[in-house]
Amino acid sequence: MEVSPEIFVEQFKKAGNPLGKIQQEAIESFKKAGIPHVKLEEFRHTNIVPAFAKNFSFEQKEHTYSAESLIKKLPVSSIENTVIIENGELSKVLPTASGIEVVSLNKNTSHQQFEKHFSKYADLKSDSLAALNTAMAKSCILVGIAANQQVEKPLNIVLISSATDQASFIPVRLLFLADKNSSTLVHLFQISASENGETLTSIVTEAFTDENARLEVEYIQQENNKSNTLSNTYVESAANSFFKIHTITLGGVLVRNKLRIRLNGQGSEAYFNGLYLPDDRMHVDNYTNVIHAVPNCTSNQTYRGVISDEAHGVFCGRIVVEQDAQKTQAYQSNKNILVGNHAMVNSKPQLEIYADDVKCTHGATTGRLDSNALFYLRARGINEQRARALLITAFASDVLQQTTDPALHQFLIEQITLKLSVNNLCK
Amino acid sequence: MMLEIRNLHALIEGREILKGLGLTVKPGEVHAIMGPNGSGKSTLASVIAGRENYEVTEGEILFNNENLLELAPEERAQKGIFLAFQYPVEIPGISNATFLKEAVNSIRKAKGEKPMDSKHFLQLMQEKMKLVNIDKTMTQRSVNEGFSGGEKKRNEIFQMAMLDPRLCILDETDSGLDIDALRIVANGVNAMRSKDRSFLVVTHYQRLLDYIVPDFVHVLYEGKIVKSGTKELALELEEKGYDWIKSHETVSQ
Amino acid sequence: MSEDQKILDSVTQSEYKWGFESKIEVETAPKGLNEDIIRFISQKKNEPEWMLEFRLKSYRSWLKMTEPDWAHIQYPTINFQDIIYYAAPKQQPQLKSLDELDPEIKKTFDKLGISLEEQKRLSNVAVDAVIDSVSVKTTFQSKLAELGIIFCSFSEAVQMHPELVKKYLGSVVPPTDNFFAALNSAVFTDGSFCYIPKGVRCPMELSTYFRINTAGTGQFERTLIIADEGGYASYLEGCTAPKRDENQLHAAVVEIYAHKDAEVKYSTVQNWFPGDKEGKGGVFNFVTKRGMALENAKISWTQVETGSAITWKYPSVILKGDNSVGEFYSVAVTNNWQQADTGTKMVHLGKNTRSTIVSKGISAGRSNNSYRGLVRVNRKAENARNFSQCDSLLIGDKCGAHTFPYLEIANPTAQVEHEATTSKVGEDQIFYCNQRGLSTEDAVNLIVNGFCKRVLNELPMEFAVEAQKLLAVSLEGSVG
Repeated sequence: MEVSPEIFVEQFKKAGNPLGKIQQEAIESFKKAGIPHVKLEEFRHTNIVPAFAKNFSFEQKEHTYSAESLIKKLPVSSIENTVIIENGELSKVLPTASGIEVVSLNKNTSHQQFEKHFSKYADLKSDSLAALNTAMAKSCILVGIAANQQVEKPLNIVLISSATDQASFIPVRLLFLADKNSSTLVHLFQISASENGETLTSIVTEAFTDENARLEVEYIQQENNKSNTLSNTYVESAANSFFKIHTITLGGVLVRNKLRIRLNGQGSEAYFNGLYLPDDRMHVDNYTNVIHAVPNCTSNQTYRGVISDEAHGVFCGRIVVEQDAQKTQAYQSNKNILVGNHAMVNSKPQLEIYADDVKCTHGATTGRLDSNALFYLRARGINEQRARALLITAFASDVLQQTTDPALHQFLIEQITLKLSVNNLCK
Repeated sequence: MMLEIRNLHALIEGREILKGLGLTVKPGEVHAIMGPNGSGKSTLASVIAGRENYEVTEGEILFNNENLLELAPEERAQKGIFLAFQYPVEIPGISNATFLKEAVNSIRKAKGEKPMDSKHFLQLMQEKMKLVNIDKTMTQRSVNEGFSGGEKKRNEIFQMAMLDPRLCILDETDSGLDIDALRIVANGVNAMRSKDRSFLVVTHYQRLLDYIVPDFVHVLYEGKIVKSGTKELALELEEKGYDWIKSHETVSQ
Repeated sequence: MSEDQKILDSVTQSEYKWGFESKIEVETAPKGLNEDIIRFISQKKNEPEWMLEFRLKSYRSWLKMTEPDWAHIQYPTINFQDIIYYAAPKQQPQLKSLDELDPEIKKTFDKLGISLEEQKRLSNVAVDAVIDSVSVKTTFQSKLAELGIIFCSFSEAVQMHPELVKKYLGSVVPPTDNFFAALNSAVFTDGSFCYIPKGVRCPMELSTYFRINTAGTGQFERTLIIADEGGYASYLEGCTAPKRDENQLHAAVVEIYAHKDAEVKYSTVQNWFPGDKEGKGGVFNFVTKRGMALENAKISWTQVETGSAITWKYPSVILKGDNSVGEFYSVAVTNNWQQADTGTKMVHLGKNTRSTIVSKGISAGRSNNSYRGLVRVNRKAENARNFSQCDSLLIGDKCGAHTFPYLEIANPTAQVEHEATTSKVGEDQIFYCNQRGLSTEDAVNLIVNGFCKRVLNELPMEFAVEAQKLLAVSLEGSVG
């Protein structure tokens, strides 16, 4: 099937710019650049074109599922503090903690913060997927945390995507604004409504952490094995702010997470952690870009991959230290274990450094499970499959141990154990 | 008979290390295996435990009349073979307690027993921790990660006590230990001696045998047991050095 | 003269001490590139028909190719029609003894510190000297011939050993490999050729010294080294050029073919003119170096890159045979306005193949220094191993240090490890040295030498000393 930007352009014309004239610019940008292909360095190892080769439906269909019963499977301790987004539209906001605002916005709603931050961080010129999302989004869901608010309980955001017998294209647009001195933990769950619905979800998240703000996102991707996700996250941080994200990829057939932060205020910190366990013929690509624009900032990236069957893992991490960004500390580590005989991994950790008083390191390894450790476990009576699963969980703990919420941590361990018990963990 | 090794030949990376070794161990006995570096002591320990990079080309190992060589390492462990490693492996990300619980329950399962619940497991740990001065923080730390040499060896004996094996193989457990740590480890081992548990103590030096007194001493040289005797043999070796065995060996050939 | 004054003098004098121009009579081709020029070169060199064909084919593919733009370097557009593709010292015919050598050429090499007079050589090194495009003198040839070793200029090899040249030329770097390799394949004029027969260990270091002399010329040399089964050779390459305001293009190709059980060690000290303090002039160095390692063979690249305004160079190894080994040890220094984008490719095809990469980049002034390396483990390469260590050292806050590794692993039994660090010369280290009486400049040299030790240790002794001096010279003026 031919893949052309035209179907999106046509759909765009029908929609009538719900988010204002920026959408016109966005569609022009997208038309010009088209769908990114493997000849572009950024997409060298990830071919997203087949995900677009579908006869997409853009219309919302009647739901045949119950969102509540889907949520029951998630570690959402109470239904409070939970926001449900179905196919990109805000469908339910259960009572949230004070100081948190969750609203769906468009050009007819007047919102000062929205106007100040919307589409200010995503780069429509160089990122045609962000341009596509901006053009196609019907609304923008703003999650605002008021100044000085220390939110204790995690805010759960559940993204549900659904499709009938026709594949659906789902644009999701999020904007996180953490005001001065605020602190929040967000759980972002991405799930499919059914086992069979075929979807292409385009998520663009913009986030701004104001001075001394602390925003932590635990992003769990657990869609069905027909779902494609193209997630592009752009973060801008002000002085002494703190941004942390865990991206845990457990499901989907093609998942690409682009994550970019510009550390633009002195003393700000960024932590990117990722864990991906693709199996079958799944493809996961984590593309990170950390820009140190000012002095005295810290960034730390920890990505771990366990690649089973014929799956393919890709990590590309780019750290840029600009000339003024003295006293930067930037670390990055990507480790992969190949457990499938036809598993593949591409790792591209990159440093671009223009300031001299910096401490930057990166490391990448790919290998098998340590045979000495495996023997040690087996010599203590633990059977081979279980010993392998234990070692893989231990390997993943570099990332899992950094998760903040104990309930989520437990949930993830269970999900991973479940996955490993059915996968063929080759020698 | 608990352990019977007959005419054992084993290779690593194509090089023959064991060249027709024989050994018999009855329940309750403590056998010391001594020998110079490179004689095959650690190979013997690894082959009994089932390390995969060793290839057995000839001979057999019977454990309670069962052919050990056909079993996977975990099956051997489940049947009661315990190897205290010369170099215990560090496993970041798994706590000692989690690891042990997994091991204890794997062995119970193989015996057809129900898994031990957390309460009883904790009680068992507390009891065995005293044996080799293990404190609670050590059980919470990742397996051997960042442990000192002495801590690692104590942890091996602690695991041994937890898993209650029939045959304990101590592979150079004394190496890298100061005298205090050596005493603690030896006391732990001695506390476990019983009429139905046997020990194979692999060591280079006689020193350990002052604390763990063996019933038999065997000298391993160039992949074979060239001399066997009682504990006095160890003292004689200490006095005369391994060169004595080497020259003895050439004369006898 | 006080000690300080001496140091100061040596510093100011040693800025780029190889920057002289020799007054040697040369014969040149007209500027520009077309099929006639290629025919001219081929005819000048009295080449057989197949050689001309090879050149023309390469030229035609080059015409269809575009200059690569992925490297982290910026330079003005090269006008390929504004270059002289052939310049040769006028001295005919072939020399019988050193006395017949043009005294100016001899002087040039004496200034470079390379004696072409065998009897005067203390060290055991056979030298092939190449000025502009043509090999002027190869030493120790007869001694090597006794062992069956062929060591001569490329032109000579085409005449004397056409079967070997025909068999191996382009077998590791095909003419269509990349833009600059295609250009070289079309217009290369000379270089060194070496053949080590079965089971022979070459008893001395083989060495080539390259010198660009004539203004407006490009240098396009071609080196081909073949080590037959069980053969061994250690090969050294050195390069210098005069100081000029305009840029000069250097596009070389080096091919190494290591048969079963053979070993080739290739060391380079690259010191082409880097341009002046304002970034004027300097050599554009676009080089393709690659080795093919068959079963149990080992190819080791060691490079010290201090020169050139632009360096674009990725000495690589194709680990085709089972148990073959590839190594890459590199020190790249950039100062002032220099730009380097250099690294390696290790392509694991055979079983149990191993590769090691150690790269040390030092950036100073307003320079940019990038490591770019590929480690690829193919699906069938069971038990492949790679270890890479890439460290960057920054001196000053106007320079850049970049690391772009590509790890592509398609076999689960592979074990691949990459580590990289970037840091600056520590103030506490300098202070410590200052306190022990060392000047800041000496302290930096000391620290840099320590930083590069792992690589310098891989160089043959004679080269290691030279390389250390070169590092110091290259970094002069970088400490404020």
